[in-house]
Amino acid sequence: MFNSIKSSLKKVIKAMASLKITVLLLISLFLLVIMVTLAQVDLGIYYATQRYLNSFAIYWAPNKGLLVPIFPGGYTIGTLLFFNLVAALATRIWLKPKSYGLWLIHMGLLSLLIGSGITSFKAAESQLAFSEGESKYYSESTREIELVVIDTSGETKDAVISFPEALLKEGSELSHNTLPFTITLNSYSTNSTLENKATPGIQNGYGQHISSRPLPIFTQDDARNIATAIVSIDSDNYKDKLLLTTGLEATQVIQVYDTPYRIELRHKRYYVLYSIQLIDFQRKLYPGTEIPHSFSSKIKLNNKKTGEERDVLIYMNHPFRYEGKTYFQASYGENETLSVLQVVENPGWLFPYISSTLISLGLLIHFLQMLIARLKKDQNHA
Amino acid sequence: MPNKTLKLAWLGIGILLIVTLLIPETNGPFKIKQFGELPVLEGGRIKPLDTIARNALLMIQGKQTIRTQPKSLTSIEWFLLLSTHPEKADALEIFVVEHPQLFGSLGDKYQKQKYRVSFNFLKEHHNKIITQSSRALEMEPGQRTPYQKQIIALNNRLMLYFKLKNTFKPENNPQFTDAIQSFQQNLPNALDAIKTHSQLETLSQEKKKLISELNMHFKDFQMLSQTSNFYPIPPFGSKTTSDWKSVGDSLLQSLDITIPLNPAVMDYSKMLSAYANNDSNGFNSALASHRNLIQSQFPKLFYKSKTEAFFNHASLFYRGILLYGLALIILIISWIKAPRFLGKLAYGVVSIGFLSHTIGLLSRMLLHGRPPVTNLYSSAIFVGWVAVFLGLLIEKRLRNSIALFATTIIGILTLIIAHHLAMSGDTLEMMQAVLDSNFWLSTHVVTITMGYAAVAMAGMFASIYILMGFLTKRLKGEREKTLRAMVYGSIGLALTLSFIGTVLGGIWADQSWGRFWGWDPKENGSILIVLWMAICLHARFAGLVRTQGFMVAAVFGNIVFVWSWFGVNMLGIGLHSYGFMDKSFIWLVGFAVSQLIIMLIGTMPLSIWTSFRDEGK
Repeated sequence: MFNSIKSSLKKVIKAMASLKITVLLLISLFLLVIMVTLAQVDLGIYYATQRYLNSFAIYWAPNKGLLVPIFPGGYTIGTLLFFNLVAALATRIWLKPKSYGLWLIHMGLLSLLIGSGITSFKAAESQLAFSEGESKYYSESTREIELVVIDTSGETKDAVISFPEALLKEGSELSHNTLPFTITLNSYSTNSTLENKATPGIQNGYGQHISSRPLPIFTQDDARNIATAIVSIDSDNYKDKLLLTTGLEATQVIQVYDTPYRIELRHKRYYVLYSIQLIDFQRKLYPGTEIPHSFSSKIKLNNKKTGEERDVLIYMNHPFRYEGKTYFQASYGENETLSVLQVVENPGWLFPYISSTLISLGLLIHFLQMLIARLKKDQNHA
Repeated sequence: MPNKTLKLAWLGIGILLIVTLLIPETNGPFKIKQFGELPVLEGGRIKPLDTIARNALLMIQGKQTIRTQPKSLTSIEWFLLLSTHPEKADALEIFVVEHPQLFGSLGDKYQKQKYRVSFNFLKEHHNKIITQSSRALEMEPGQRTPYQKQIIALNNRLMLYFKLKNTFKPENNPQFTDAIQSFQQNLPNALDAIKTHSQLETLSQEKKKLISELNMHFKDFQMLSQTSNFYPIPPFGSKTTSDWKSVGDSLLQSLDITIPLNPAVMDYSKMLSAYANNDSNGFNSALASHRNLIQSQFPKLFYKSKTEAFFNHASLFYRGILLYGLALIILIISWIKAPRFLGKLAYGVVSIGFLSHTIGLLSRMLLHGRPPVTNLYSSAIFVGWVAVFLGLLIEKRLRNSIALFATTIIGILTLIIAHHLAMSGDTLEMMQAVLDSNFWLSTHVVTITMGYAAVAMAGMFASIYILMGFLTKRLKGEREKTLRAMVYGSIGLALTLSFIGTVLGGIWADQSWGRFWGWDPKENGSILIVLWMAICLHARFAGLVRTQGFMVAAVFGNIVFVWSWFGVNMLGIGLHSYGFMDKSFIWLVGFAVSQLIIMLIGTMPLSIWTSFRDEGK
């Protein structure tokens, strides 16, 4: 009994390790990369990547509501490649003197696959935009939205309750055990345009002067969408309707049971336990041209917990890594008094370094072995 | 022994080649070559006037010389004509127009895809160009039609031409040298007149004239400072590059009488007015005076500038094309007659071409202070260089003239591509801030580009395998085996280099913007190469394809490579698309079709391949 399971398991692993499957998967990946490249022309890099690579399948939508999977997505191919490679390492590519090189190369590939898996599920990118003199303790996502309720009654601290974008759908009801009210989304659009016209049915907040009209999502990589929602606030003694939008920088406060709450729709924030102040942004051009020679931001790091207070210079190819986050010079604005840093948190960042070391070593050994074999053969001939 | 004589012959040819480079050009009484060596600031770096004139002419008319009667004009001669006799230069038909609808309504002559017109012609239609191009500029670059792209290009050519014409002196002021002199003489008095008499009525007629003249000069200088295309006036006493000034700015600065007029302004002015008056002595002596000043103040810069002018003049890559072409012809003859002798001859000719190619490459690196590949242009030069280098190595070992033939073709093609890419401007341009890292340029970019060369070699060897096998009886025995091994080796090398290059690129990206991989089109292009090479090898190991299928797959590698190299730049998205180019699309498609035809031939059953036809019997 046990033996038969073992032998059939062996058969399955052997079948999974098939080189033919490898070729099939590589060709699928090849086609997928071509598709995603072409799709980027219309969709922009972000949305094309989401649809083709950060997905299990690519769908064809002949009719509304009907989705037919027509091609494996990046997740599927990546997972299958992973198992194919593990199986191959377990059955064919043994660690033996003759194939040290090949073994290392494929171990490196394995680490690359694992790393890219971690990155695509765990990495978060956001931006930190600040003017000279300004100090910030959070960065913001450029795409992801959150709906927050902020209880400002605390003496030293605000309590922030955040509802992620996945929950923001027309008709959904948001509640939290610390909140004495529920929020119902009457409408939600990822992108919209604002008009100077009252929204019908709203008697409070800026919705009395402004209304929104949904727009198709802007997919270009540098375009920003304006998300808008109309929400109903419901509790025993308080009912209200508000317009929320990321397109305006204004706060709306409601009073429920004598507690003031700020309600906002905003770009998702990533808080840190320290603050960063922009001291000086500089852009240098090559003399007599408009070609930038360098960008740099001088910042002051202030971490009360550790007592650190120091200046850091961030410039091209020289990011600042701190507590799992990395800050890169990304952009600038407002006559060079505003700097934008890209903030990346990627727990898988070390994997590519490991795998490139393994693979380079493997290639080196492999080619040396081939060269030596070749030279020996030549010697025997002579 | 003939071997020794042959080697001596190479030496002779090589020396001859280099000596022809060193023979000074005879330009008649004017020392125009020395004029072309003068350093000026443009596009962020100091370069010789010769480079300015060549690049400008390339951008305006796509060629570096102008055919006129009785004798052609070189770039620098044209530049002198433009600065001294603008009315003559305006009549030359040099502006390329590359769209039949731009002026098509004016007659048959203007309905061609590409033709040339004069500045005077464009002046007549200036309004149309301005309105159409400003409308086109409102569009997103990706949305512009070919017509709109062309009208913008034409407008840019016009702007460049206008600025060049008004860099040294205002085009409508032929007596500019006199004007500067009278300005200098009368400046103290004129300023005095302004200072002491605040009321215009009380001024004498003579002083009024002084002030109005000063005003005229001021306007001229201001215009010059705005239209200047480059900065020719060196900052004597300062080493900062950004202190180089335009003629207009220098003159404006000297309105402050405590600042003496920079002597270079007067020297240039004298040179040009002497040239205008056909006074070679005056030209040469003003030139000598300026050169002496530069030599004493900026000996290093001047040396660099002279070197660059020399290499411009030597046109080493052009010589490379010619020599590689010659070698190809010799190789083809060698298959019919005297294979041993002609094969060796071809090897020698390629070596000399390679020498020229190498010196060109090295001189670019030294002048730029950069690794070999910094932009699309230099990547073309380097792909060819790597291929020919490897070709020479393989040929030395195998002596079957196939490697030499294949890589020489790659050398010619890539140098021709580079020649066309050069038309977009200065090929030693300054690096965008994000690319400004010699370490990563010399690791990631160089490895990737070497990978390109290996892919191209694999594709070319495989094409030869297919065509030789299908069309001739030569693909047999040892030759077939060697050629097969060559394709294998190249694919292995290509996979290794492109993989390492791609990973290095990822690490660079991780270092500079925190994303190891962003699925940007250029990254996708490079991973496509890696994937395709991996597919070729694994499909062969898995037994999915045999030698024949492997060859067809290797030829397809060429299409993948060219897509990765140029195709993605045409998509015009992503962080990597600094090297945007247009119009070459037709060539790309043509190349892809040629490769598809070879692949189609490659899939024919072996029984009809000429080399294998008789094997069954």
